[in-house]
Amino acid sequence: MTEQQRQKLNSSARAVARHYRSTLLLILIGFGMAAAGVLVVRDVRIANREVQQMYAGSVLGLRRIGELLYEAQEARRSTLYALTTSDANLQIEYADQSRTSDARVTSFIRQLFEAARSPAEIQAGQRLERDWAAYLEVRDNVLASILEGSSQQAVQTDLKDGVPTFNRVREDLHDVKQLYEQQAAAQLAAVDASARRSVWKLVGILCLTQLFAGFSVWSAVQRGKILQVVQHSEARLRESEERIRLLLDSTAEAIFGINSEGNCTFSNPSCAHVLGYDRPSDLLGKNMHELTHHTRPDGRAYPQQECPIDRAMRQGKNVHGDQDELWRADGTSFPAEYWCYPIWRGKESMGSVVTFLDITERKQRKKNWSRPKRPRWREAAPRANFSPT
Amino acid sequence: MNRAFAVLLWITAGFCLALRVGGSQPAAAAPQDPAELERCLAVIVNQSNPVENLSLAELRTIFRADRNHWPDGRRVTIALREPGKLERATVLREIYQMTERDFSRYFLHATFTGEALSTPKTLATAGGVRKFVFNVPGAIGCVRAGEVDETVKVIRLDGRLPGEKGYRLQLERP
Repeated sequence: MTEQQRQKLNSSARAVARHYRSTLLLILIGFGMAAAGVLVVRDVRIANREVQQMYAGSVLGLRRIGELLYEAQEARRSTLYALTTSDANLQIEYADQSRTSDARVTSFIRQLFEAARSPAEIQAGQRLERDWAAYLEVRDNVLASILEGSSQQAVQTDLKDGVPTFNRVREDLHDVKQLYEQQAAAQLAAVDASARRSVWKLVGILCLTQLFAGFSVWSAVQRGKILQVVQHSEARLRESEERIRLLLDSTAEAIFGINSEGNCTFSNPSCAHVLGYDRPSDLLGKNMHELTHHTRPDGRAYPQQECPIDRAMRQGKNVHGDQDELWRADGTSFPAEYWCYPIWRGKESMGSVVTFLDITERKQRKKNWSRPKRPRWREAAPRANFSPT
Repeated sequence: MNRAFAVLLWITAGFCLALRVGGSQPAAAAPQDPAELERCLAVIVNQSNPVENLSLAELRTIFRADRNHWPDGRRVTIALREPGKLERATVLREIYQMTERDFSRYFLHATFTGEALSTPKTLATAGGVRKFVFNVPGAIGCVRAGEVDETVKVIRLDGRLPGEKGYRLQLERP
């Protein structure tokens, strides 16, 4: 595996890890928002219940107070209407209306204070019931006087007792109304506070949502940018690799690369051909010293520690040699001249690139050239006073 | 023979006396026949009125405004049905023993002289009479026994309730 491939893999792994982290964050934020949503829904339900309770209590109470006041006035009006006629039948009709309204008022008072809880409510209810009963007594006397035909006495009784008693009833009703208004105001304030809390929570959730949305967009943009850069880099890398591959394939010089362990990371077709392999891939991942440089020219074993290529790679130096032999796949050897250049990453040597040539012919030529035959021209013209250049 | 006749006479007299005594007793279980009740006129007063029983003579003094107050001091107010109604006709016949004209004249005179504190109230319906009696503590009125409800009290007339044997206020046949 080449260094670039490893880097790419590392980069991909980091991208995958980032993706999972983002997904986890997304799920966590989703849970958080769901929890906040549940809280808001709970708040809204509580506020709704409070409103219902308020309606059932104070607002309904206020409405009943209104109805009660109306019925009480209706009862009184009917009693007074009875004064305006001397027709006993009409008087009876008015008395009947008055009593019907009275019954409604009594029923309202009972309903109103059946649910009374606070001492103030109970006290107000008791006072109202007492005053209303007193008024009914006076009203009965007034009605009796009217029906008996003693209108003057009825008016006197009404003015003396009826009006003050009815005013007391009205004051009681006013007190009860104020009581309910105070309660309604307090409950309304509580509901308002609850609604405000819910609104703030909602605002918080909206802010979180906006933040989350912003983060998602930013993250997507960043991912897009990174993807663009990676794609661009990959394209450039592919182009570069292609160029290098073409270069390696087209050059007659045998080239291979090794990593810090001495294993082949790449090779070109010339290298495979010279070493007697079918394809460059046959060499990939294999220890090149053990494959091609295992034996010295004199037949002794060549340990890797003593190999100048290996040593040079470890020391980070360039090395050149033409005294060694390399071994082919078929077990034959050939003299080779090689150049070894270390690959650096920062200050660390990551491996080497080795180029070599089969120098069998050169060696042969050199051998032949080292014992040249006397040229013919020298035989033809012996002792000439010049030498060849 | 005379002695035997005397014994027979005594037995007959005793039997008749026994029948008389039994007949004058108010019936414990008054007949509740609706048709019978419809034929009787009940005298009703307010529930708060302590009076339970009146003789026809007492009733007459009350209705004629000879007696204007009840024993508890409340003023008597009379409620009657409109002229032309069977109930009113019965009251006029049995209690007042007057004609409609005599009745009007009588109360005109009584009011003018101050003998009557108020004239009887005239109401269109039996319900009106009932309601009047219910509303006025000193009121007294007459309605058909079948039209009586729990808002008013029926008083005995000579110890008899409407529907009981010997009850005097029977509606006259049309």
